[in-house]
Amino acid sequence: MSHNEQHLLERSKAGDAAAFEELIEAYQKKIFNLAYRIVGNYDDAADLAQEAMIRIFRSIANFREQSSFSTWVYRITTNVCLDEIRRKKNTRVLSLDEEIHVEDGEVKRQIMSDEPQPDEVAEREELRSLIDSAIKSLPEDQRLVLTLRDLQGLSYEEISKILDCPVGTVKSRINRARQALKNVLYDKRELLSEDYVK
Amino acid sequence: MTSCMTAKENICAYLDNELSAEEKRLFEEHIESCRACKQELDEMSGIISLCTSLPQQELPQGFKAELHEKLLAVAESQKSNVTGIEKFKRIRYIKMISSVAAGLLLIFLTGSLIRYGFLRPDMMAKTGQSTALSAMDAPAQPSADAGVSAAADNGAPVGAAYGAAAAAGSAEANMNDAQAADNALGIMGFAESGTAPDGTESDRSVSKDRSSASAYAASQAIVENVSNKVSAITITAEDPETITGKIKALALENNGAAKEPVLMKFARSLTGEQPADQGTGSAEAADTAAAAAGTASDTVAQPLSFIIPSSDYDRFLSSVNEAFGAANVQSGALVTEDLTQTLNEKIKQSGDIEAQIQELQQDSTKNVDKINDLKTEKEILDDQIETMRLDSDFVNVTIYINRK
Repeated sequence: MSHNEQHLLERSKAGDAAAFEELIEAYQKKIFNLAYRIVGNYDDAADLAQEAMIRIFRSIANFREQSSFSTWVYRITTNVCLDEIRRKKNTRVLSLDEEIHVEDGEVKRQIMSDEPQPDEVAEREELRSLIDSAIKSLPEDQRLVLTLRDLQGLSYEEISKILDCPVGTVKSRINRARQALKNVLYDKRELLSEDYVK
Repeated sequence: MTSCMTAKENICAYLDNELSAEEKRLFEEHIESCRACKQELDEMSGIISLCTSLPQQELPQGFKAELHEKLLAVAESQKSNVTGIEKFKRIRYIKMISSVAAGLLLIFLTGSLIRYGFLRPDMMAKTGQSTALSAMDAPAQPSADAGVSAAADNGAPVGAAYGAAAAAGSAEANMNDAQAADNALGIMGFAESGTAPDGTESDRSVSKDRSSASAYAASQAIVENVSNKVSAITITAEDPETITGKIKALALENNGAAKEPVLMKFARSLTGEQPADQGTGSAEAADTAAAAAGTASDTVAQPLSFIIPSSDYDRFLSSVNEAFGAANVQSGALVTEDLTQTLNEKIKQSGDIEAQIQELQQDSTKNVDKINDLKTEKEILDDQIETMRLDSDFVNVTIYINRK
């Protein structure tokens, strides 16, 4: 944490909203993207990211600085999003099925509309959208570790602190998540190439 | 030699640079000799680079502005570290001081103005018209005598005291009490300087006053939205006597305060008595409250009542759950009753009574008893209005403790 950040943190702890805004500025986009990856929906992610930042501001006076500020921030964001997912699961039993159904539709649409191009850039774009929906189809715990690792670039140690679980668990979850992702992508690619052949 | 199984488990950690030096050496050794694992490693590396190259989503439009507003609201609620009960007390206190001061000022002002002839009656009437509007429901007294007697009877005219309290309430975040009281006095002074000894002129100022009072009620109907929020929590404990302190502490931590029964509160406001526990432990008020309302000698059977800011209610509930175990805490739904209409009716009633008082005071026979009755009635109404407004930001929590 830089000297300036430390100073902003102190002022935030004293309830200074302007200082807090300056402090959280660097994290906003990451918080929003983390929320987006966890809940998989743009509007919900915006609400939850804001709620997370409000909660961070409310409890910043209690931040003991035993972990790094970013770890603490991601931890709160993760908790806010998971709470929301749990709340939704209780009210909507079918949400999981619906999600998968919608995703398939989306993936299909993109394949149909996109002309097969030999262009490498286009192929990469296509792969990206594939991986995007593939990540969404992962189980919650795997999606979470993957997001923290690949999107936020956090170490296993940091992730274990955020999720409050052993490093070994983080390691095996990441492994399983990527394996699952790989399988999904390779299956889809085979389907794709079959489509193109026709 | 590492097995393929171990190697596969370590592929991701290897690529993430999370293996120890020894693990890393063993892994690389295996990859050199195993083509299947080497291929797996290459594929995985491709997956990771795909994942890390996913573009970050941009923040939605207006995201920062919205956050800014929310943060300011939170900061504001935190800054006013004044608990609900202290707010009540503070307003009462200002109300009392300003009432007395207003009375004194009135005597001084009207006396000196008339004596030194600074204002001729026609000039005074002019001032009266413009200031009666700006002073909203501050009453225009028909004569200096009536004003003084009113001040002596009740401390100060009720409407003016209410205006003072309202000004103090809105200003209290930024101003200290003395300033707020000064402001209120300023309003008083203006309204009173507009009082004309001449009978016809005062009639005009009365009608002005009445119309401004109803305009006030109408404007309140648009902007104000008040509600009564009530919640009941039941805690089961083996030793009920020992947990009341903890509950109070939790309430205080969440900016809450013990609630006094309404009757006691009102009695205090009338006598202007300062509660003994002001400043530090407003939780003690619960004991007083329990004792005052006391039907049973067993204080444990007496439920605890708190007012907690609505914004802190969820946090309070979860800290109670945490402290006593979710299994021992039963929380009922938070019931919100919209009181906007009731409030507007009360405001209108208060304005009507004010008008009645004005009329009676114009009357040469001057039914003093009737005027005083109306004043008391209006004071009760104004007190209720004030309480409703203050309560709107708070949840009334009643906590029942059962023995296990």
